[in-house]
Amino acid sequence: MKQVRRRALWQMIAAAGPPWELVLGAGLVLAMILALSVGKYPIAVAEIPQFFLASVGLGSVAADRYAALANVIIDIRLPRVLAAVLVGSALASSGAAFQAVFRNPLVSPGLLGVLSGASFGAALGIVLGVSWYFVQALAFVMGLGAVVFGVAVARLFGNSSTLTLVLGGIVSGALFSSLLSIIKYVADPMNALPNIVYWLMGNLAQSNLTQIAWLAIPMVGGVVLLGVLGRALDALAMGDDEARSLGVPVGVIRFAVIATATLVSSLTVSIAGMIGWIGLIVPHVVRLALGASNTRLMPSAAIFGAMFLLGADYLARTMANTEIPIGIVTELLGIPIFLLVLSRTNRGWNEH
Amino acid sequence: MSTETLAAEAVHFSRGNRAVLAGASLSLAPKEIVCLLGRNGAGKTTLLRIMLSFLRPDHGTVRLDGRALSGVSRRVLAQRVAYVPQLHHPPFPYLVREVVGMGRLPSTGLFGQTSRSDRDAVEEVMASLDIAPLADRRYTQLSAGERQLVMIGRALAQGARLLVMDEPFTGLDYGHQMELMDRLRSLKDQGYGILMTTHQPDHAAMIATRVTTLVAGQIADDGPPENVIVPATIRRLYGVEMHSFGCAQSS
Repeated sequence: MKQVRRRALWQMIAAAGPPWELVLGAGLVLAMILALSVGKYPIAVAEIPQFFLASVGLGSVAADRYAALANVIIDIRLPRVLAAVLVGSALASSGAAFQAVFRNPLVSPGLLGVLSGASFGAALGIVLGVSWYFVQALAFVMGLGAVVFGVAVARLFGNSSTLTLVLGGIVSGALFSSLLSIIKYVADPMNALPNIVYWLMGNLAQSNLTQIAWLAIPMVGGVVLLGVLGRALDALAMGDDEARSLGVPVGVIRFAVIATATLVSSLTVSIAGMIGWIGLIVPHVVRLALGASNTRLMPSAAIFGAMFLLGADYLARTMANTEIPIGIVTELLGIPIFLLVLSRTNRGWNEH
Repeated sequence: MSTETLAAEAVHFSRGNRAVLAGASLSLAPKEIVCLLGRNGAGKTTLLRIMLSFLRPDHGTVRLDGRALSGVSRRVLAQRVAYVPQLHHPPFPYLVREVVGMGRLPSTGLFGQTSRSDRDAVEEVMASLDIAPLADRRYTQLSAGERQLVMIGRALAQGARLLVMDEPFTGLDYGHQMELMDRLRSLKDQGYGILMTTHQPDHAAMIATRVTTLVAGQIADDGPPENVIVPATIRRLYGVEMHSFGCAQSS
């Protein structure tokens, strides 16, 4: 009943107010400004827009204050905030895309083994001492390998039903986790091992602006591509034959969606390590609030995922005296939210 | 026969070593309801899937208005021929309006925006099938009969005049089966052509304008129900004796 009322309310807002994309976009900008103001060095929320206006020549800020702000905002906090936005949106939209294309509300980049595969690939790159770009490439290749392996395992057990695919993902995740353990075991314990362990726990503060700018190109491109494929994803979610009968080139779209979702979620690993749960729960939360239609779900999930990770990062920075790895926070937050969503989603899942 | 037809011509299809279809020919035109009967595993669904271009036949062609399907794009085909699948349960709670709206996909294209006229078309279809009151309900929460109507709604929203239905009566109770028959008859009267598979010869007897049987990979009978649904055909198809039954009795 409550859900019905909420949807009606939303539709009233949607009908009367500005478009929902605008509302969500404004929310994201606000969340980013808030995130930039939080930290040990005190900055008032109002100073953030003033600073950015001053930096493009509109308005002015006292010179010494400007220098201090530039240091804290641009050098320290902005990479972190952008990392949170990129990673959160990439995980949430790839999660929603995987769910549609596999017709399975229980899959996510984490559950399909993508994150484990990408972690293994990146760790392998670190141990081999290859260049940063090659580490990204290895993360993507192994992430894709993990999806292919998981789907193949599911096929082995008959048609890819909800449960067999989850099973395949678990097997694939376990395989790449154990490969990762081998890498950790052979890694140099003085140098490479602490790097790998600390980074995999999830940390948004390890990339610099240049790296983030490079990664932003494929990640934003991928999230936008998944966003415009919403109607095709809706058709695919109804079944292959039905999608074909609606004129959708099923093979091409499926391949493009899996490759894109794997790419963007693999790259999150290289920015911030393994961050679980976002790819699973954000699409569910958005579906509960805005409905199942992927034209709305894909962009909303991307924006909401970004806001969710900004919030989780805020908690990671402020909950304790020392910073807690973000991956641990999303896990702690994700479990109760998932249980809540599970109890509210309609029971379509266990009827297969 | 009208020029607007979908026709399989001497279609062959094998799965492994087993020939599923061995020269099956079947056509569908507007203003008719064609029922396809056959045993389990006779290849009824395979033939439908070939006629919908989901599968490619090994030999033979399927033509739409005389043009081979291999030369017709999926989008164009989708605006002429629609598929109504067997009842199923999609994993996501789409609203009825959204499911029917998916039928506009072939007209707008994958990246196109839905316009006012698309939304109007969807409303019109829902009104014509009396499912407008369900528009904001979740498809997943509807009864089987309602879901079947929504699927038909999506097919009509495609703008297709030829509908291919895979066992539309399966999973419906008797009342809903009779209601669906009325709907289908009225669609036929409006000029739609309907091809369906069914396991129930009595359904075929009640609704079909033409009954076809698929035996050993070929169409064995093709004619009006009173000629096809007779004890001899039933015996050949299902291996059971039929003494009194529907129009078979009267003929």
